[in-house]
Amino acid sequence: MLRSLLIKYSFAAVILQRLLSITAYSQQSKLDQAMEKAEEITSKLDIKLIAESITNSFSSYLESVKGIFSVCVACVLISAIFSVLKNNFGKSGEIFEAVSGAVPVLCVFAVIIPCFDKVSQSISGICAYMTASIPALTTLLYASGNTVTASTSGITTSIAVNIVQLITASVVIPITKFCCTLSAVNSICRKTNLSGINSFFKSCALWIIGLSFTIFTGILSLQTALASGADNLALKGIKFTAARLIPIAGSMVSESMKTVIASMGYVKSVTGIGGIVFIIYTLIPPIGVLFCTKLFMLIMSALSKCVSSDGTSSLFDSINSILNILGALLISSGIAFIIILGIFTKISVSL
Amino acid sequence: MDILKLIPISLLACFAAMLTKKFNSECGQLISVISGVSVCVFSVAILSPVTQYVTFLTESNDYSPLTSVLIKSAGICLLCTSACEICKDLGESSLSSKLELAGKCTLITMSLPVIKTVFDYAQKLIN
Repeated sequence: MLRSLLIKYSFAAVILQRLLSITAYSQQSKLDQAMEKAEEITSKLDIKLIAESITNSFSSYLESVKGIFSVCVACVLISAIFSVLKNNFGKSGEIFEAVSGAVPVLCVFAVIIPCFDKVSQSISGICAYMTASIPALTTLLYASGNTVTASTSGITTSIAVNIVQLITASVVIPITKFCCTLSAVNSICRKTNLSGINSFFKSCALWIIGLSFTIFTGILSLQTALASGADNLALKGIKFTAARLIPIAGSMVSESMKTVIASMGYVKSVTGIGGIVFIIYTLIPPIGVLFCTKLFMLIMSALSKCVSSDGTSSLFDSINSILNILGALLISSGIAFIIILGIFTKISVSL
Repeated sequence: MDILKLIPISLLACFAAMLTKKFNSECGQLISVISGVSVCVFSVAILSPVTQYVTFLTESNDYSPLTSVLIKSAGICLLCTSACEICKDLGESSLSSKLELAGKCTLITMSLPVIKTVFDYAQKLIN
């Protein structure tokens, strides 16, 4: 009885081993094909071509902003000049104030709407990439026979990515857009003071970003604790999000630098310079557009302050702080993207 | 017109109005109204280099109508206020308030495209 059972089990084990070797072979052959394709693409990758496409994306945005800049300067000058004549405007002065507040709002809207579109597209692209990496990662783990790891990894990563995607797409970006509208209303109707509500929504957005990325990195650390492919990338991620991102998003980059460099190192060791170029190509254009818009707001705010146009300068300051939130969101998403890419690469290599 | 010419002319008109009022009050008021309107027109004319510069800044631009709306509304404000003050000087305070109302209505109508575009942008942003 025992002998027959042992024979059965050994037979089953041999079949399973053969099946696994076949799966691994087929997976390996697919991987080889994929590697060949990747090498082919990487050989075609020209740094000049990448730089050119990045420059094109910048220049198309700057081209649209260029005309608005002169109008904005003109509006600030007009409001400053006519603020001297405020007493001569009599009771019509209030309406003139509203009109002179509405024109810079139009200019600001014309600048920030493409910026919002670019950042939203970039974040959704990053999230789509992270979501797409889940089945690939799970397949790799299944192919190597780590079925438990594969199931936990797939579920936890998908939860993490979905949380980030849901929170950024349906909560934080609409809140920042709403804050922009509140700033606009505040600039047009100067008697209404909406700055309190505006700052409340801004701090809410910052807290939500901090919370979502803490959950994100927390889930990743749970995944790495459950899965045997242990790495300390996610734990480092928790450190920077929990300690830095929640109060002020600004200093998180310096804190997470080691994590990002470690992830970039993994990516570079496996994919070569092509992987780094891909990361740069994904993250640099939206950050650049955001930086240009911020620069625009800062210049206009400084100019408004120079000519003592208080209402207009507060509009530019308010939009600038909203862009800070958007920047924090973009940088956090970018860092999460690099960490996910690093984890993905490390697990792929360790298999 | 130079301000150095405008000041003596307005002072002369003031004295002339004062002297004429003793003999013929209507004629004196007419002199003060004419001089007031002239000073107002010349004051607006002094600002023409500013408007020209602003127009130069925004010319050949899709957003140039915005600055023209701003300049026009400032001009309307100045002219309406001056006209209202003249009416008040002539003792026609009710006409003055009606003129103010007309000025406000004109401003609102003029700024309507700007406000409409702001709403459109806000809608686009929130949607």
